Amino acid sequence: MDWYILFNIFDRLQSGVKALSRDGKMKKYLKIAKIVLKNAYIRDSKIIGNVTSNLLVSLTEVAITLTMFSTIFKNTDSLAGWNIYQVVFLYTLMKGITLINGVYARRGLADMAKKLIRTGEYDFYATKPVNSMFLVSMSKPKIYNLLTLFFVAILSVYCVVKSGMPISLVSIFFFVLFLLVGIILFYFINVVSVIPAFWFIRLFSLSDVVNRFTQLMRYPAGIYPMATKIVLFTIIPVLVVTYFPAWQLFNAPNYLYLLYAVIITLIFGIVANYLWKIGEKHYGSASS
Amino acid sequence: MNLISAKNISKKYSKLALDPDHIFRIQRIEKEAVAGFDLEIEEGEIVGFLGPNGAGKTTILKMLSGIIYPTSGEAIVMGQKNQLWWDLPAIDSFSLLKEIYEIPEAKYKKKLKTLMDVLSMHDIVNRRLRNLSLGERMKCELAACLLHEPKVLFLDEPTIGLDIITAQSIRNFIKEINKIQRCTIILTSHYMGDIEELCRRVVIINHGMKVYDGDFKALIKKYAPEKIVKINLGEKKDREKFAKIKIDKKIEDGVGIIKVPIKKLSGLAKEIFGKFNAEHITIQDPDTEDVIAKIYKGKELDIK
Repeated sequence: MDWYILFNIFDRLQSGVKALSRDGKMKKYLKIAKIVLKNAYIRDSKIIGNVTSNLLVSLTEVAITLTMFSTIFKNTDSLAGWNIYQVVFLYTLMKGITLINGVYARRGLADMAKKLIRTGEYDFYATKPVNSMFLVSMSKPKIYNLLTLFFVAILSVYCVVKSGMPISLVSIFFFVLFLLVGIILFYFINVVSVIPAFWFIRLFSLSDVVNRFTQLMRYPAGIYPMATKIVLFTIIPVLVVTYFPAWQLFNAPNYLYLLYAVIITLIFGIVANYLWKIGEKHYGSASS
Repeated sequence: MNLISAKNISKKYSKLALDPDHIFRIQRIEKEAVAGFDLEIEEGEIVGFLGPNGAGKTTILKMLSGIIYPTSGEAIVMGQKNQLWWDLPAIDSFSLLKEIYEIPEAKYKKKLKTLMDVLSMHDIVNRRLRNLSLGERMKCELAACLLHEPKVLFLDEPTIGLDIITAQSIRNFIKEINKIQRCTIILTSHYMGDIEELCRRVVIINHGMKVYDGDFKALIKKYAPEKIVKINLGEKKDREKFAKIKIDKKIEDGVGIIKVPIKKLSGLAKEIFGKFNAEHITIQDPDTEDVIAKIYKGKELDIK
């Protein structure tokens, strides 16, 4: 039964992707993404000082977090059954996903919350024959996040090796699947958090709350009380983003978890698109 | 063929605020920016939108271009409005727009070359937008607008802040593109020079309502049924002769000014050409801006 539902969902997703490919939309969106990223590279290559300082700040943050975990694990052997390497791996996963999100979406969405609606700059995105949610998200890529991501990826591989857990190829395959779903889900969570800007014009608080919840992605789910766990798996499902993939790497495949991750990602995707369209109708622009 | 058709479109802005009389009561404050606006524009027309600040011109333009949704009514438009990316050279924004509008490579190159030639912008497309002057940016904006050959072009004060020469080159370009592409153009401007030179038809908007829609020259004729006669009063005897003319008049910086109804012009002309040297006399139409200001101040226009 589980397999059947899972197969059905993947089949539908595949049909959707095929439909996009058939009418050339996928190609068009990929080309736009490529040009935006290329332009961002050209821009960033002229501000090396900014890139270097950002890298140093990010790596310092990683170092401080590692020190914190090291201190915690001097007082305990495990957190909810996870050893220090597994917990640090979970942290690198959180860091990696937020960095990837930052490469293409974070700053664009932050602009949406703070500026685009208030200043009327959203006009630009509203009039293009391209999905405005996509265009806003892609408007300010931060590709130098990839530099930090490189260091974080090395750290995560080191942690997996040192964790002492047996890792099978099947686990790695399912981990990658969970990771892809997690990246998409995290994007939609961020989108949903900025949509109220259409109504409230300028919005810091809600997207800031999501940023706070992001911090909870670095710990194993087992440490949270039941009520918190329910919230973090359903209403603001940040644990689906990191905990599921990490858990999957260290354990046998769990199709129900994967099914749940896919369903909740689809729900957030549909909700984000629907609310965005309603929000656009409330957009009042700004005076010229 | 109508390219733009708006039927009874309205836009209301509403917000919730505390009632100043009852502190615990929240009231909804509504402001009607546009009320029951109808408009039909044919392919290839250039139409000027006039109106004082806050009249609702930009709101109507944004409803027509699909940026904001009307509260009620229906607007069907074929066309779009554009904008460039601040941190990039215009050429990079152009290449992005090429993908967004799915313009074939050969057509894009040809179009870009034409636009760069017509707008003389070969030197500026590779410089970052933020390093360009306002006039240069405006040229790039126009080129970006026209890369995908839109059927409708919305221009919201296209010459604002530009020097006379750049403004004139932009106006020439708008005329040229209208001729070549049969592109329908709607523009708002506070500069009467733009309107006089580009638009045969104008729509005047005040308090969110259309108060006039028709021929620009007919409007001026109707609201300025007079000519202005100016006489250079360099010599004392001329000033004495001017004082004896029995009609409303004034002297500004040594120039005698008479506003004369067209019906009385021939009689007055006979008199002044008999009294003054012809080289010192000019007869001209009233300043368009003065006429428009008079219309804005008036309650309602009776020409429809």
